[in-house]
Amino acid sequence: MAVPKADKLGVSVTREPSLMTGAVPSKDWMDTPVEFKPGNFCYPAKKSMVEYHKFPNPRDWDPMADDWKLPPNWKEIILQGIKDRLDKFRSFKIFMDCCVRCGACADKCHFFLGTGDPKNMPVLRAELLRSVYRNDFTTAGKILGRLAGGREMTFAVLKEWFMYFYQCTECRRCSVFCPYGIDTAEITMMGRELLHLVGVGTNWILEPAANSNRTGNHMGLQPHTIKENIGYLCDDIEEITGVKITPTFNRKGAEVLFITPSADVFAEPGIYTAMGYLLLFEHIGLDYTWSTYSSEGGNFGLFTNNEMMKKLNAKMYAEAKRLGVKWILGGECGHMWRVLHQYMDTMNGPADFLQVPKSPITGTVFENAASTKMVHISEFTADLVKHNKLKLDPARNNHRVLTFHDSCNPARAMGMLDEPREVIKAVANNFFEMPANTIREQTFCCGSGTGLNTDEIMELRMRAGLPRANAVQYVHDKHAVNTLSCVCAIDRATLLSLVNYWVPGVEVCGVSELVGNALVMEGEKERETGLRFEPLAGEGE
Amino acid sequence: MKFADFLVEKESAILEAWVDQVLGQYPAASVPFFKGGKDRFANPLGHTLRHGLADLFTAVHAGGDNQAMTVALERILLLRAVENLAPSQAVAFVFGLKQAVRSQLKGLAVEDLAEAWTGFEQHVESLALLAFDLYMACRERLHKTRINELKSGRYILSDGAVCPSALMRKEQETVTDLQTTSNSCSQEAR
Repeated sequence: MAVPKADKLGVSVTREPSLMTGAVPSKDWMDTPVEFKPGNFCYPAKKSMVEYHKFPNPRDWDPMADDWKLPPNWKEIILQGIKDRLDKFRSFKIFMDCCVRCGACADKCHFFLGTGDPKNMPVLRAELLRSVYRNDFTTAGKILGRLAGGREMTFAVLKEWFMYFYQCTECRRCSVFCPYGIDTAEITMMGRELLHLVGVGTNWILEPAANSNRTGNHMGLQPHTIKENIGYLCDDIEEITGVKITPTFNRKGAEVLFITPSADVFAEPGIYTAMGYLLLFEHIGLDYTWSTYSSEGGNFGLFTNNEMMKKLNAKMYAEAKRLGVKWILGGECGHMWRVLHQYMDTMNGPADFLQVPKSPITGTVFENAASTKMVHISEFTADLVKHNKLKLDPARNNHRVLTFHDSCNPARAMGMLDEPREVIKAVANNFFEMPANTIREQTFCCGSGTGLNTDEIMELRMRAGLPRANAVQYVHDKHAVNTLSCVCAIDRATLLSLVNYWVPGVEVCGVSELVGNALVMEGEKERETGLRFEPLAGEGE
Repeated sequence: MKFADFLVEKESAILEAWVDQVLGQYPAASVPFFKGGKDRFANPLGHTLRHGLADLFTAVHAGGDNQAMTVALERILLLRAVENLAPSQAVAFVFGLKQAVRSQLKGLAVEDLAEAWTGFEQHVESLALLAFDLYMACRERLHKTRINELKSGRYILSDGAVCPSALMRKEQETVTDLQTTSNSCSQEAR
């Protein structure tokens, strides 16, 4: 009897389509079809959501079916969509033309590192769209077709786009390594825009975008709910610190409008970050207000199309104008800051009706926000720390051995690398960096950004988050790190799941939670617990 | 040469063959990177597999201590458990060790092969059982992670207060339930 090979002992272990993506390794990538299976795609957008946004082709459809119920002329729509975007966005045109396929980006993507699927190499993911561009929009491609790297737009190509443009979190790590500075995130953005033209999108993105458009935040929380929830957080603060805080809402004439992700006022562990904000503003006596209408930092338009992004971003400025504030302070959010720093100015700016942000406590003028008029809470807090305006007891964070995850957008899209670290070092005593090639500009994504944070693709999320978790594991083993801090709401939600799986024993927190723990408030009682009612070091042990 | 000496002498060749087998299951275009990338942070998957298999080999060689094997296996199984493999596929790599050893035995005279092979095989078999337990533990951990996400309120971020994905899933489950019910009814009818 022939000895069975080990790889045959399992069911179809090798040389068959990857169960994750359907990729077949032995063929050229262009000839490798994708296969949708439960667990490798996000649920498609509901008909009602597509209708709400007045997007094309609302219908119920199933990615696993052979018929996606596309409009009969879907191919023309896509090609016209590419043409329109090439005319409108110079960057898109350049990114389509200038890649020399050097491969510098190939092994930098967390999706590639976690799945091993070649189409998750950024160069190849971009090639999915670039090949169609070559075929229909370049002379060489029109004449030579596949020989020039071109290929016709077919249903199989469309399926590939839906698969792989939703296996990219637009984190832009690959762009750091590209010698031409190609922003692969923008290629994914274009890919998703084009898919929406024929009614191919995911519900997890379109529904929060609809909620945000309608009620001002992803969760569809109405004004009284937001006020009530922040009230509960104030009750907890009073119980922990003895200090009563009464924030204001929609108050006209406040100096500062504060906008943060709605998850910060509703979901763990973001609510502890919000408690940190509340304590900080009380501590320095900031003249600020929350808004119950512009109650979302996140902008799922960034994951949909540029018109939606512009519309959702404009709401923040409309509210700032309505309330007559001088400038906007933004909370710990991720992609809000990419929209702010890279797109706001050309979409809705300059915000001339506001003033260049100036800290009322230190007098620092935030020249970096001269046009957008919006300052990040970590920049604001680091400035307070630098000027010794905060009374701090870092020992109250002694129960935490910390490391810091640079959230992709604040790090790579706005270049905010040192401010959160300055804050952490001021408010805590135990801080250890993860390895150099996993932080700062080279930070690894949580693996679940850009609307991929949904539980139907949990395995995929865990694989994409492997490089990040692997670095956390290292500092956990080496320095007994027990807390992963970050400045992004999606991170706070997704990193917790990530470490629960890969590195149990590590918690996730926002930087402002650490600030709230350390702040010595006027008239406070002796702290026995941290903001999540956890015992402090030396207490209750 | 004794079998134990053979394992020491051929350790690197055996490991190479085993690593090749396991990495060979990933898409061909990606294998050179997973095999070649030495930086453990730039190539976490390749590093985890290579070092996990090496530790496992050492543990088996040292007499199959359960704790040492568990530590070495866990990192690998955490990977395998999220790769959407059938359970049998996820643990099949263990048996690859036998083939890797056999491939290096060719043409060599090992005095105590018959009796030593029996002992070696027993280690590999217990390793396979342990791997299956760990695979299940990893899957369990994954499901708990998913449940925790729902219970903590983070589901609002990941599944929506009005929970579009859950609603859709519910619809799909209802359809599946109906199909299952109708299938079992028709089977009973037969």
